[in-house]
Amino acid sequence: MVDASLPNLNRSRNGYTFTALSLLVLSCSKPDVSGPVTIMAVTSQAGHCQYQIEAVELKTLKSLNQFKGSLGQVVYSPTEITNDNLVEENLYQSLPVSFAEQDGIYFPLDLKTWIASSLYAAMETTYSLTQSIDPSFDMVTKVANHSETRLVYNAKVQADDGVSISDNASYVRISSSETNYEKLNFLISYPTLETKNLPIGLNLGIFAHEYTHMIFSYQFYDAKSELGLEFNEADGTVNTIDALDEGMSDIFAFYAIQDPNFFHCSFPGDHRDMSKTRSFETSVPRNRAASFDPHEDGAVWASIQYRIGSAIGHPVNGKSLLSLMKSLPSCLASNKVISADFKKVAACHLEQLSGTARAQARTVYNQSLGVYGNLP
Amino acid sequence: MRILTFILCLLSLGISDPALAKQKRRVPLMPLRELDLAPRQSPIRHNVSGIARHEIGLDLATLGVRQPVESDLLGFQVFYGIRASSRHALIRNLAIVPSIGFFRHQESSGNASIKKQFLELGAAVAWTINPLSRTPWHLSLQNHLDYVSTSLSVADTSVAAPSTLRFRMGPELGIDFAIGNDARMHFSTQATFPFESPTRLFLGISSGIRFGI
Repeated sequence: MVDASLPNLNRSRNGYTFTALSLLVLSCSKPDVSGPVTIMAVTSQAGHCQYQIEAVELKTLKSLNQFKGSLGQVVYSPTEITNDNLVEENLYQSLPVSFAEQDGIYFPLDLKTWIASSLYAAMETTYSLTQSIDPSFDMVTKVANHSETRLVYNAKVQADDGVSISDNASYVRISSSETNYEKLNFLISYPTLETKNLPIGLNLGIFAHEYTHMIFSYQFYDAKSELGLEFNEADGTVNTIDALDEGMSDIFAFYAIQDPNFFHCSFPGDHRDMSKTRSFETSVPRNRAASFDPHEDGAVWASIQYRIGSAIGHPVNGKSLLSLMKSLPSCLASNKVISADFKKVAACHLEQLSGTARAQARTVYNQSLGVYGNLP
Repeated sequence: MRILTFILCLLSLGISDPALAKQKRRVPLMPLRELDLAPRQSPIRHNVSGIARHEIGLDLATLGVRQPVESDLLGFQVFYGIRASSRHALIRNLAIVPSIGFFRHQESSGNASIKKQFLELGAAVAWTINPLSRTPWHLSLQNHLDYVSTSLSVADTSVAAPSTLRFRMGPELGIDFAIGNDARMHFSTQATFPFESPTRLFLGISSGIRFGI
């Protein structure tokens, strides 16, 4: 007697077998992805520290598995990083990342992948921002080895006092003839240990800030070198330029993520809210001093730029600041020596503006320069 | 006289039973024989080794997933979970062990966290190395199908990543300790590898209790 249900059973069994084998094959294969890749990252909503997790497109990524693109690569170092071994090629490994894909969107499946995504997204967002406010400005053409830039994930670095650095980020540019890479760039994230709020690795503003240091370095310091200029070491110029570097990084990070108080989301104790009106109450020290914090005066500069941008439009002001970075060494130099204070820098900035925008910017500067006095 | 003696004996029997009932006298009993129990038990209840042919068990389990970067412990990301299983002997040494488990892991940094959990369906073929021992060792081939779900959250916002399926297999070594006629403590360690590239080691340890049914 033939069981009539057998053929169906066999078909069903074959279906199960096919499904199981398909799953097996799918789970075995992990193809690399290049080109525009959409990943989930923490972005800023309108309003302070109002974050959401949403899809962000990375246009410059070449390899998702290695998290490498035309702007750089996210790497990590299993061993401690020092000033001496920073540029060693074999110190770094590509960060093992883990994603799940749905409808073309890649979801990070662990924290390090999520942070790696954010580091790259912050850099690309700022890179794209500069191109949008000035189409003639392209960091990839300025930095010949931009793709060799290393975004170091959770770097183990000891400070001078022997304590491991944590809850921070930095930009380091190496110009060493001893390495294969000339002017190699590092954007470094340190482990988050104390931060109870948004970890710095997921705070897009913080790495937009660090990437702007890289922009400033190639705009200002390269122009200074090309012109063969030196700093006046005795009139506070070095401290002023350091503070200006921090202020520029703050304001461009705001342009990138549209939150003028993004630092507060990771460090609630910080006073770097650009939307608060501030002015220079003290001038920078004349000499390099260990106690001088360039971030404080930089925050005042960023606050001034926020006000100017609010008056004349942030894209207009952003474009003028990009030009200022490049033109500043020649604007400030006299007899091959750069002598700077914030009033001189403000005057140079006005040269990058015209018409009503220049007049409005002058008004803001004269309300904010404080101890440096009014512009003529 | 004989008749009187007979009557006295009858009377003594009649009054001695209650007296004997009160007296705590150790009555020697014959040990129970296998034959005595057999009718009251299922014919498949025990095999020769004393391991029930059918068992159910519950384990607390820890599963370490190899992760060289940002590991929880010794290069592993540690999942904690629970696993229910049953064991069905096919022959004296060989059994199949279906199981179902649930594992969970959370990693946090500041107010951001990623919660990962998976439902584990398992089917193992277990070989008992020394079935006659009171502490039998088991060697098994584990097959697990994991349904993995992940959620990302920061502050009050969260999103769920798409769920994924993962198949992994590998050996397990276990040992049982009898703690009663029908109960045994079970300890095991397993190493499984998922079918993915690059593959990773899943190292598991579990302990639990099993009951014969």
